[in-house]
Amino acid sequence: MTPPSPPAPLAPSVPGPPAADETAVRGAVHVVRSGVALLRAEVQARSAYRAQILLGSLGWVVPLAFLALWRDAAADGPVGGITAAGFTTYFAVLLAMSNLWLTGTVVFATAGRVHSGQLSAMLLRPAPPLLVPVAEGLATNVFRLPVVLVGVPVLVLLGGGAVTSDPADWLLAPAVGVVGIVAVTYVASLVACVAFWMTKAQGVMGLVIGLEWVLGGMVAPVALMPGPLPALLVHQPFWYAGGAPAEILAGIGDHGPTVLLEALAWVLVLHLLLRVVWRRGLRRYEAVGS
Amino acid sequence: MTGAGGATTDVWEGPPVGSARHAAVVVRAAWKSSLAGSAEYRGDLVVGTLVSIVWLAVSAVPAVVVSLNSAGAGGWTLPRLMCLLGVWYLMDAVMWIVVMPNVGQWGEQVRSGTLDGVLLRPVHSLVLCSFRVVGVQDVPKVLLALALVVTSLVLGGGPPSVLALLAGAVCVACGLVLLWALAVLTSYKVLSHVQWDASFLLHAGLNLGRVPIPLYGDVLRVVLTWVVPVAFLTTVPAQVLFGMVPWWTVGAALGFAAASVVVVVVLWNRELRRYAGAMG
Repeated sequence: MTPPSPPAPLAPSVPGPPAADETAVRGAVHVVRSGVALLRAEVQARSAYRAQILLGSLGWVVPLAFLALWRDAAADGPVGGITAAGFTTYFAVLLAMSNLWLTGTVVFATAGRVHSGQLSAMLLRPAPPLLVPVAEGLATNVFRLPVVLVGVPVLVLLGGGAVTSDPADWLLAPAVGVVGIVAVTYVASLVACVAFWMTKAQGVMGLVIGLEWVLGGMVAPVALMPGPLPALLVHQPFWYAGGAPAEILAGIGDHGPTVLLEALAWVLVLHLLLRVVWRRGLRRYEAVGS
Repeated sequence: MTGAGGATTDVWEGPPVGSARHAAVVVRAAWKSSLAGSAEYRGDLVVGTLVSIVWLAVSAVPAVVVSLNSAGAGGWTLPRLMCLLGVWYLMDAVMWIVVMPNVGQWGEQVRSGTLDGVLLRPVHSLVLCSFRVVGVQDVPKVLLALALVVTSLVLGGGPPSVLALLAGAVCVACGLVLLWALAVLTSYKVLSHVQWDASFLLHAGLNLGRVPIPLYGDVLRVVLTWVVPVAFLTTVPAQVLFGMVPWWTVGAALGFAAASVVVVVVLWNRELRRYAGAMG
């Protein structure tokens, strides 16, 4: 019987990680790869509840309630230059956009993880923790998208909505909407960082949803707001994520590619701001635990 | 009381166990416990109050902007829309104070097995499962809602008579009962189907009540009044307070509320017999 050979000494034989491996878990490419992997996992996890997600998106009726209010207000004539048909398209597109917003998921999931201490484990992974709630929200959107793509045209048709006939607008609206959602997701991440300073701050977190409703044009087109508000509100992320694509497709106002450029500039500024706030917040992280 | 062995034993000296008064005592004790628990986060309570004020302002924006830009949708002037908003805010407050902390937790309680402990207590299970926990953070909403209703009534010329005021109060109470019944109806199936979640219907119903139901058009008006009585949550109380509908509407509200309680109790008891626990 051959005696077992003694184990080789570990320390000298284990090579140090090559420099290439260190850079492999950093940088934009790694973040994108991590994000895609997370998204794939979240989509698979949600596929078991796809019917529930689908039905849940049917339960989101707030834009429909405001549509009824505004259509009736415009029954006797245009309100602020917007006809009943314009309101129908506006709120139908808003119904679609608001179904795809990630704000609630990012704010409440991140703040909850800070409060419960779950963030500790996430910080050990070689990927930004904020990618997780974003992937969760996007995975839900994968199953909501079919409802939106079918439901909104049906709503526009049944409600007698009027849409723009300019092909450039049809390219601009989704582009502004997507960039706007990215910008608002950054805002949501910044708000979630409040949890580092206030252990439990669900109330403050809820405010961002309220901002989204008013500044995003959910309760009324910003063009109908009083005083200087219409001129101011068309230069902030919430409007790009909701009101802008809705107005463009409904033919309300005159919007050009500068809207898209402004939205992109916001994304850049918010990205840099989040880097600073996240690092400062992490220094305050206490991992309370539940 | 001292037992035979000299040991002290506690004897219940309150209302008879199983009576309605006993249930009220138990629920009140549970609410005190919730209040004590929320006192740990006083800062959050203060912030929550401020946030409630901001949310009320957010909810008021559509009505205000509509009235700034038009003569009022379908005869609903600003005070009338504000009264409806006040009633809606009251319903929303009760939703987050009572409904969501209790009914909204049934799924998790079934999955974790904690519902078993609740069912063993000597109080009707539906009462305990529906009203045990109170979300203290949202309590200020009730005061805000009532203040808005009173203000809008004063600005809008008030109720036509004292009787209309009383009838409006009765309709608000009926709306609260219907809200609770709708919550139970969308959630009671979780007792036998662990992953059941139809709460989106409850949220959809309440959100549709943000605006007067007649504005939804003829077909939806009939559906949302007589098939799924969403109108009785917010629109009918506001209409009664302003004398916009005939008196028999109050009777209809009472009838819907009474019928919903009977239906909910029957369905709950039937579903409870199918409950087998699903401790995870």
